[in-house]
Amino acid sequence: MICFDMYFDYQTSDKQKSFSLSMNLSWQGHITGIYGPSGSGKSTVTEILLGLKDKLLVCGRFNLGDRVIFDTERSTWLPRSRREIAWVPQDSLLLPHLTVAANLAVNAFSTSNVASIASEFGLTALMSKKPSQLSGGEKQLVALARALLVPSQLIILDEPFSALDTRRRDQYLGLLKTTLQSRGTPALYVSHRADEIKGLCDHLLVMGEGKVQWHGPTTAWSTLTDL
Amino acid sequence: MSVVMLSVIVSLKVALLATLVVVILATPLAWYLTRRNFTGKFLVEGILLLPLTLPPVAIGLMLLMLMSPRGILGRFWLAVSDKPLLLSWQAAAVAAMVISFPLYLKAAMESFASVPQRLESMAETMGLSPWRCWWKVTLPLAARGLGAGALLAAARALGEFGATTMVAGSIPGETETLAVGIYNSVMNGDEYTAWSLATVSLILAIIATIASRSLSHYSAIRAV
Amino acid sequence: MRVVFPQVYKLFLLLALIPSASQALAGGLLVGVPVSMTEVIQAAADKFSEENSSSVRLSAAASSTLAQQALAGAPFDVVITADDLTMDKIAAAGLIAAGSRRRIIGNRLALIVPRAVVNNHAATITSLRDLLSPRIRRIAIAEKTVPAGHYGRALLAKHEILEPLRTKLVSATHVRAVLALVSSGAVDAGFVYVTDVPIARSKVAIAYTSDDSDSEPIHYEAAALSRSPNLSTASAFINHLTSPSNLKLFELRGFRRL
Repeated sequence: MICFDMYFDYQTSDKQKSFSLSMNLSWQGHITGIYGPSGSGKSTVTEILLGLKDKLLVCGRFNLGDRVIFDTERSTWLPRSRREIAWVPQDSLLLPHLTVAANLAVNAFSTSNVASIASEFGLTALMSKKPSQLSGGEKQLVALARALLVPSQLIILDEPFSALDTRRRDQYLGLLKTTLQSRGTPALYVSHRADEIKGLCDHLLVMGEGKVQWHGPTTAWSTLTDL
Repeated sequence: MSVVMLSVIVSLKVALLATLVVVILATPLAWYLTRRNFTGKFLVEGILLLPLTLPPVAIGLMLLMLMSPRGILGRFWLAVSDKPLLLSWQAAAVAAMVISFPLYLKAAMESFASVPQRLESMAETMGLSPWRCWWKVTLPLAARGLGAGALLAAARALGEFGATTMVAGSIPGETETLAVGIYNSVMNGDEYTAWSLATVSLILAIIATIASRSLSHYSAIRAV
Repeated sequence: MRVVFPQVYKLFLLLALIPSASQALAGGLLVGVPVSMTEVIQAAADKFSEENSSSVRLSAAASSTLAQQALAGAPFDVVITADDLTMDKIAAAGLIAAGSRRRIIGNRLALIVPRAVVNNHAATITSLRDLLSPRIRRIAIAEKTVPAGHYGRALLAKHEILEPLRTKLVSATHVRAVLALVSSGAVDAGFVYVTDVPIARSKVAIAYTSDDSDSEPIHYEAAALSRSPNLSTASAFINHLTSPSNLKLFELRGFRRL
């Protein structure tokens, strides 16, 4: 369990298409889902938490556990490299010039961990390949393994399996769930698919039109459907 | 030693020093201009790219002033080496530096721009400090483009003439580069030397430009 | 970054300070030479080096460029110019060592045409006035600021044909460039020094040679620069240039004794 405390406003400066996002909530959770239709701000939330958005556009604070990640009133803004928040994006973002092994080892806890996670995820056969030689699903697995190898307080997964076929998706979701539970690493999981959220998350944030429409334990959200 | 060999050695010295300095100075600058925005950035870029459009002789005249014993470059060199800067091969190198600087800067900026920022952000979220990220992610991905740019700058430095004659004169064995040597041989009616030098110049230029193109051809970053 | 920078800086200096082979010879002279005198001064310099075991390096450029470089502080020990005016400019800046300025030799202007023209046309140029003919469309001449250009224009002015010919004049950076233009047939005629002709003797022919009554006398002047660290050697070189044996050398190549 980890304590989240977020309060921020985000306003894009693009005059033609302005987007405003507002969050103000705290909760405890292990795997928290962020659920909503496209355009509701799900990915924007994660990007703000990761520090990918320009700090001039954000106003508010984000506390993770007992650490202040950012607090614009007190001018605190941790750089990305110090936030200790791992990221599994939709498009894996593997380093194209390195092999799978090197990608996994980029900033891993230790090399023995690399070997053990590789075998856990069935990646050992791919270790000396380059990302360009992998399939989409394999790349996402590597991205996930890489994220788990880096010292972090939180893992943010942004629709990591949305581009995969159903069978593989189910397989990887199962793997993800067991791994997260066994490691105890808290996670934020973004998705627009109800079945993914129901199967994985214990707590849920429902987003709509740039605001949190509802949040609470997954079991309490009865009208959960695909969006 | 034959005239041709002497000119080749001078040209290679000049081009090597000029390219080295340009790469070291312009690479971080190119990075900064690609990734940061600030007011008046277009002005700064315009000024830095100026030597691309100025006639080399005009640049030569300005450099002549700067390299004089009272000028900023002349005084610096005097302090460092106890020798006058004008009419030395180092002066030819400075002229070549100024001329090829914008060429490399443009190529470097394009190389850095082709590295997806998201990749860099990803590396940072994994705990790599901006400096380590630059070495492990940005630089390797931009390396081919930077190499191609450096070769192009070297080729330009090899061929530099107008500004060079102004500030370095044409002392055989010291400041007579290939380009200057060709010019002098033609002026002195020495066709044999002129053609020998021209052939060597052509070969060096072909090597440099082909190598440059092959590097940039194979540098496509596949979006993964 | 702070760790890397001083090392890189030192590496540069190391590279940049590699001396050139002949720079290492101390006591050597750096002489600025007008383009039209390149070969003959090189011959004189070779002889001087042998006799005095002191190296002489030449840097050849148009006289006006030499003056620009000297005024900017170029480390010449001796400067030779193809006219008085350019040397006056250098003197006006206070750069000349007292008493070292010397007039060394003279020259004559030649009007040259491409040899092909001479072979093909029955009517060729025999006097300056023939330049007015419509057959002659372009005449190469050195730029105004270069002594040869100045002398050439003065010659035309003396014969009162400068104005009518202005539209036909093509300026070149210096006298050897004129020679190249005429040799290649790009222009119909050009003004060079008589001493330049042998270089392209197979490609050009002399149509007219100036004499004393025609134009301003052409004087080459030499002077040592006062900031030279080798003033005695510099003066010795200038003396060598005006020595009887060297004057003979000049004459052999077509220069004119004063």
